[in-house]
Amino acid sequence: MEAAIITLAGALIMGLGAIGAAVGVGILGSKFLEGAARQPELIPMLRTQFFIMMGLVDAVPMIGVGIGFYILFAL
Amino acid sequence: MAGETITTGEYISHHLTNLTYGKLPADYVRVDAEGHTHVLEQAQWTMAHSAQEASDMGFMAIHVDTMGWSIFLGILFCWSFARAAKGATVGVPGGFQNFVEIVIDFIDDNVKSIFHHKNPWVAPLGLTVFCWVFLQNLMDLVPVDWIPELAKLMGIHYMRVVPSTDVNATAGMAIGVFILILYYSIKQKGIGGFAAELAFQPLPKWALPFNLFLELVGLIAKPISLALRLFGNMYAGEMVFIIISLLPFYIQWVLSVPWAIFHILIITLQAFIFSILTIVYIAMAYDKH
Amino acid sequence: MNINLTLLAQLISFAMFVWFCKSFIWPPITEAMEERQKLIADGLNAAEQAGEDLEKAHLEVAEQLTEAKTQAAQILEQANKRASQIVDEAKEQAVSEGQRLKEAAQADIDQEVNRAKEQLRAKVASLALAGAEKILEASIDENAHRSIVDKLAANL
Repeated sequence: MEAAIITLAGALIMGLGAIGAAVGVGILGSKFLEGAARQPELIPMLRTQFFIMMGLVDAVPMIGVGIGFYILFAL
Repeated sequence: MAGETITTGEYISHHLTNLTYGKLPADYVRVDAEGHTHVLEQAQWTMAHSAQEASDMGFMAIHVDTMGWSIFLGILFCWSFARAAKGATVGVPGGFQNFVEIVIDFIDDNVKSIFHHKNPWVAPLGLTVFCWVFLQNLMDLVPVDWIPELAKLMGIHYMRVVPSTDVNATAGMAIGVFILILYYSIKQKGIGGFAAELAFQPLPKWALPFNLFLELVGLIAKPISLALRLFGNMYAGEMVFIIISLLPFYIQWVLSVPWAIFHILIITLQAFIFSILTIVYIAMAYDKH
Repeated sequence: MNINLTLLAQLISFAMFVWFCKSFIWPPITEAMEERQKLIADGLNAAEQAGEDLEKAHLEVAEQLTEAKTQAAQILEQANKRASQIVDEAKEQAVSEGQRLKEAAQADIDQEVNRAKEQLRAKVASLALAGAEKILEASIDENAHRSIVDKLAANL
């Protein structure tokens, strides 16, 4: 029973985190492509900003994956 | 694989335990490898023999492996860059100097686009953060068992190689940044100005407690998010590598190679974000709102 | 995940590394880079300047060339003019010389003619005298009739 709950918890952490990050990175990427298409001369600057934001967005689910793995395998 | 008899959980927590030197309290019951117990008569500074002991040491303990590796990497950074700086020529730069100049140029460009005041510390701070964090993160790409196994052969039981997977390391840097934020805020705006900024910010004067709460939370969130973002990313990356290393050795590369390649992006990105946010926060401390 | 003294130790080492970087790494490298940047900018400027100079020199050369050409043409024209002038002069001179020679010759001829006339006249006079002598023989006194004979000769 406990093992099932832990598995469920890990799955929830990773899955919900992934949903958030997927939506976030999706919006970010679409806006980046839009901006790049509209003003191709700004691509280098946009790319830097894009990666910064992607790092910020990406951090939380990545932490979630870490914690999820921890409770799945180490607990 | 670490050993024949230990379980997956033990293997993972072994990998996640620091080599800790600290003070065990008096009357502490130590259990050695054979299962014998003995009680400490007085408080004692010693190496922790297990994760439990390490956590029982409380605050009076130091992670020897984290400190050792991070200082080693910091000195590696300082030494190699100082060597390039010593031999810096105005003429055509060769090999390593070229690389150093690319890194410095990159940081300098970013600092110039974010930080518009005159301060000789900010750009070197950004460079140090970027390079040091990058080197710490880079240790993550060393296969997880190599160095710990080597340490075990030399009689050291716990060895965490990646300093940035230790929350103390990232929080130490984040607190350093936080101190700089406070210092420059007060230096630029005065104590009164800084306090006014905290108290009268989003809403007018009548909402003072609310403002204070909001701004203080925002202020405290800066170093915490800085520390936890880096720590969490590296910890998760390390975790995935450890999980992958639990697989049979002939199949590991299928997962570890793609993950390592993806991780190269992450470690660079996190180092970059840490240094950029440091600069952004200090620039925010300078700017009047 | 234990929070302990590592935090402070890490903070101190962080501060030390930042200080080291600020003191010994950042300044020399950025200085070298700036200096090189200046050097390159100077070099580019110099190259640009040289290009401009070259352009200017090209223009000058073209100008001088055209000038030289016009000068040469002028000289040539002058020379031509002079040559024709000389030829004209020479012609004129030749004509006038010819004229002069002709005149001189004419004068000579006239002189010769006159002289011949004179001689002839003298001869005629003396011949007339001799003839008259023959005719008149002794009856005529040479001194007395001399003036008559001379008059005769002058009328010839």
